[in-house]
Amino acid sequence: MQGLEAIGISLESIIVYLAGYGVLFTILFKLLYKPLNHFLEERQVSIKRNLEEADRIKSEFQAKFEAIKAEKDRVHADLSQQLKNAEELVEKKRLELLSEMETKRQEMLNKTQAEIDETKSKLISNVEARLSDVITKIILEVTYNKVPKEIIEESVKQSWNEYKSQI
Amino acid sequence: MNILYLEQIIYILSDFISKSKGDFNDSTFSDLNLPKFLQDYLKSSKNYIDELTQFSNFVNNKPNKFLETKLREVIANFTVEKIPKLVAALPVNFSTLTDSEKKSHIDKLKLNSSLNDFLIELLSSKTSFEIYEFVEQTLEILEFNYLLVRLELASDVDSATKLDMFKTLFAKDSKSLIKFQVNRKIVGGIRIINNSKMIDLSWTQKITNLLKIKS
Repeated sequence: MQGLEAIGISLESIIVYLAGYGVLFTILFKLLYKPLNHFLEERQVSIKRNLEEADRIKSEFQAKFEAIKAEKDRVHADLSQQLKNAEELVEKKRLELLSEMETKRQEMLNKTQAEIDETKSKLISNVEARLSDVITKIILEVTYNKVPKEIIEESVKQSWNEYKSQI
Repeated sequence: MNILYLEQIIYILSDFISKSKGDFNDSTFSDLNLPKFLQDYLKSSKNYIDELTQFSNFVNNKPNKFLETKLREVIANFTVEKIPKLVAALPVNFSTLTDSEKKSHIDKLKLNSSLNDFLIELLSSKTSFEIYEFVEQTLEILEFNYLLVRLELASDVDSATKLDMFKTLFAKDSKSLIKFQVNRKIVGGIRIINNSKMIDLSWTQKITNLLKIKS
């Protein structure tokens, strides 16, 4: 105590100071700390509520977004599938058309070839027939006029014997 | 002429029956020169009077039904065989020959029955085409279903060969009416044509066949 007194601090002054501080703290507690604390608490609650609302909204939107995304994915998948189907259909039709065209082309080619062959065959036949006719006429003309009567008579008898040998 | 021919046969037959007084034997057949086919008919028929009457009425166009008679059958058979056979025995150019040449050829046929005057007249006055036409018409009158067989020759041949042809073809079908024709267009050989088919042994056909094989 003597040391404190040596530096100018007495017990009474300490008590006064403590009392002063006590009063000060009491006043501060009553007038400042409580409203401030109340404000802070309200603020905290408000913030908490806001955060909860934000979370709710977030969750809600999250779900909506997910639903939208799912719907979008589904629609996209549908569209993709439809597109794929359409492409397949187009491809199938294209192949069918190509096949049909090829068939028709082949048929036309075959028909044309057949017509060409027929015409060729007819031409050849006609030429052969005419040639044969001409040769026959020449041979017959020669034989008709040049073969002696006796030989023709003999040919009649030979043919008759040939006929008799057949029956 | 067809009716005249049938009337001639009726006359010959009725004349024979009258003269022979129903006594049919080789002696009477020979004496009265009855054609062979009528001799055979009388030998085998019991109803010759009825048949002769029916046939006579038919030829005279009297309104009675023409029945199936044996007499009609034997006349048709004789007509389809004998007359074409006589034509076959004569040369194809017979109708173009002189009377003496014709007589010479007819004499070779040795015709001696009571029907032969008619046959000689027929052969002398008609072409072979007309004779065949006469035979066909007669067969149609007699309602005889014959098979027409046409024998085309490149050239006329001797009578023996033609008779052989005739006999052979006739033996195949006794209802055949066999016609001989000379067709120079076949050049050589023969061609036999009947109703449904043709056997072509002509040179024309042989040449055509050769050309076909070659092509």
